[in-house]
Amino acid sequence: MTTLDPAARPSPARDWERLGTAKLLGLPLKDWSLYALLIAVPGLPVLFTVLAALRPSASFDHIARVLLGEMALTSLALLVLATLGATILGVIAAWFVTAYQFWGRTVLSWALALPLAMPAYVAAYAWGDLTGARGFWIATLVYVTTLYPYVYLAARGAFEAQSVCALEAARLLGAGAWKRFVTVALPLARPAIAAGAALTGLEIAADYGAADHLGVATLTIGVFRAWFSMGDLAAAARIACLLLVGVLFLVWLERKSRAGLVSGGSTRWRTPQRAPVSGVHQVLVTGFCFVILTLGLVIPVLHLANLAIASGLPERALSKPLAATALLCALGASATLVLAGLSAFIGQRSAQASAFVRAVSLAGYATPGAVTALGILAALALSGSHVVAALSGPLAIVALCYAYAARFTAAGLEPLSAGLEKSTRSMRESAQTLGASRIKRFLTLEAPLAAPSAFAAALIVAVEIAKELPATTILRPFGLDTLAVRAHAYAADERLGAAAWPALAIVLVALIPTLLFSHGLSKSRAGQS
Amino acid sequence: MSAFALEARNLSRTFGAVKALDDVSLSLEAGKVLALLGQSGSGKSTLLRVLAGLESLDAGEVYADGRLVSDVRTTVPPEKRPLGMVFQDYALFPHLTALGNVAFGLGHLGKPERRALAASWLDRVGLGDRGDAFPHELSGGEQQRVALARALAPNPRAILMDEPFSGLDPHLRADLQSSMLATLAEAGVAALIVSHDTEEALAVADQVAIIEHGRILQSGLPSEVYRAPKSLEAARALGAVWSLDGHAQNGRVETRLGTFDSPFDGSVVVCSRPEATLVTASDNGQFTVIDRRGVGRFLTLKLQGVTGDGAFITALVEAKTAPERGQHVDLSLLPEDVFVFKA
Repeated sequence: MTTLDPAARPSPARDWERLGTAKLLGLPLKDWSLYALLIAVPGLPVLFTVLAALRPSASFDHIARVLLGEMALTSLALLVLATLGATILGVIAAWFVTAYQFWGRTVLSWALALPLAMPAYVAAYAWGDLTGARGFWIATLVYVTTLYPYVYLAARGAFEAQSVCALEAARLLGAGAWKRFVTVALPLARPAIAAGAALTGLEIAADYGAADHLGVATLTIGVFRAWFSMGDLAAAARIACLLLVGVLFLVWLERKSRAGLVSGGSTRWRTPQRAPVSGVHQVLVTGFCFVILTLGLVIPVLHLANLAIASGLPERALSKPLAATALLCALGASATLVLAGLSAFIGQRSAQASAFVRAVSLAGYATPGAVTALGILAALALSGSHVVAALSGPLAIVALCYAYAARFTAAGLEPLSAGLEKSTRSMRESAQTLGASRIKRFLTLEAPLAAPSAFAAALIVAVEIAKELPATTILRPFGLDTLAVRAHAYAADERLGAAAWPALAIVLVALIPTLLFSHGLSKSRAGQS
Repeated sequence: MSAFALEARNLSRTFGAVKALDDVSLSLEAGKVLALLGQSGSGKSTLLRVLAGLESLDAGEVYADGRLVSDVRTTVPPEKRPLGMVFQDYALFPHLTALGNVAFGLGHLGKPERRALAASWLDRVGLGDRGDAFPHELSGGEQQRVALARALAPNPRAILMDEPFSGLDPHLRADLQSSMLATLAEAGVAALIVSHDTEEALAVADQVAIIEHGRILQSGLPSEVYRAPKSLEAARALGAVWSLDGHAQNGRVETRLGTFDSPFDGSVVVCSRPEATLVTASDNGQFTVIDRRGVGRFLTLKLQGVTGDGAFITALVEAKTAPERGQHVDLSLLPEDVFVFKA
């Protein structure tokens, strides 16, 4: 392609100007209303949580005196230790599979991402039962082994995208393998690693199931106790606000750690020359990768399977929860995809709009599920609805879909945007010069090209919803137990054999997109040269 | 009302501080090809997008088939204009076959007619047997022809083409250019071809327009613009030129190559084309051959005054009689081949 005509390159000012006259699928819509809607979905629950926190509380003084300090410290210590552990494991594993050739590398390179399918609470049931231990350290182990794939995937992507030239130049300058890793590869991958670590931290902050089962009193547990045990919405909201401050700090830390870094170098991609490792080193490298995969996925699955078979399938442990999960996944994913689709459309307009919709959806994702759910309860309470510990009927389902959409739009937005980008600007303009109206362009061009991505988005969002525990626990209608809720209830009663059935069902369902995604990703990389 | 297939009157368009289009006027006649020549950044792509309705206007009007389609207040959307467009990257729809791509713009017809018409257009561009192929299975030249058939199938009054040959191998271009001209002539449609390649433009154009910094420098028949350019830039746009600085007095300017008429007094630029510069070997010549380049029938000479100062002059000479490097020569020009512009 020749150089772009600078005159044809739209200026930022022009971009913003255009936003005022945009239409959506032929419907003229005032832009501020679209933007307001996108902000409102994740923003309103937070706003109502803050409003609820300002109301008088009967039990907060007691909680603050006796429990709050310990909960905050426990949360912080867990967050720091487990994130650090997951980051170290993830970075080392990613460096091994990109820089070295060793036995089992090809399989391990995608298999190492599979613990993504293992919710921390499911691993907690297995490890709790296996070790007979409870508390802080076992929770740390559970988080580290189930969450390292977030860092692994981010770091692997960064290492693979790194210019081989930079590493070769370092080699010609006399840098050994360790020095190349520490002085070239690691600094270049730092933004990606920081992003992966931030995701890990957000997962830990949002976790309810594992902490609850292992008896670790975190802030999220505090929110649940204040609401379910004491029925004190204001106290729950105050603890939630403290949790939000922590999350904000985490996001700020991630932003800050990226600042001042330039990405990239050469964009040309080349298969890195992997150094072969042999002898005792090979055993160590293969062993390391194999052990973290085993700890994160294999041992919990085998142990739960063992328990499940030993106890037999309890009555109604699977069929009704499966139906409930399917119902919520279908409704929740639909709501989420509508919002994600809207965001993707708006994001297409300009770089600013794209950054905006990404930031808003990520803010929704960063808000812990317990906080989002509590905010929705608070909104209902403030609007005068009669709120009981368990909501009932359609209102609860609507509230749940809202919570899912607020949290998981980010998960759907990524693939949907990629799908929409498959129809390039000149294709759309070409269709326009051929007389296709906005609706026809969407139906005949954008939709068919984006369909595979939309399917992937639906799958990813549905699995997120199936795994979701805290928001579902707070908002679900009475009697509608999902697989996650049922598993957690059994586990709380120490009926682990019964809990294993729905728990394993979740893992199996979650493995489908994880396998497709992780395997497909490493294949597409390997196909290039 | 205007009788032209497409007419632009006094178009202006600004992006921030950049005047992409500045009072641009041009018109396209049915069955004629207008080549718009300009460098990257000259505004030619913006002009194309304004004509297509993909960009709005700050001033001026666009008429398509005699109907006002763009002015400051309204921009009739591209899908409502009787215009076709061939994009630089062809923009074929990857999920549709060649036939599906050509049929895309024929939505007003029933399915059998659509297929038949699309197939006949593929036939016309010589791809009758490639209808089931997807874009990635087609070669670059085939993709270009599908894009042309797709743009022509809905029977537009004018067709806009953005660097239609830029992605193709040079040996393919000549073939595609002649088959495209035949297809356009058969369809009787007006065409605007945007290009930065002079040879390509001259190979296909009935008319040329030269655009620079968003302004049309000159337009007309290619031979006219070649013979009587209105500015140094316009002269350069249609082929190589050399130039000398000079000072004109009383309507005359003196140079090493002789004295020429000048329409202006003061500082001027005297220029001519290498192919108009006549070279005669002479031991007392005022110029030295300092380089000779090229193969085949003609060679390009680079010449400088024997004293070694002043600007270089280039001349195109027959290889058989070309003087050697270092040879002294005399240069002469026919007065009608000399252009004098204000410096």
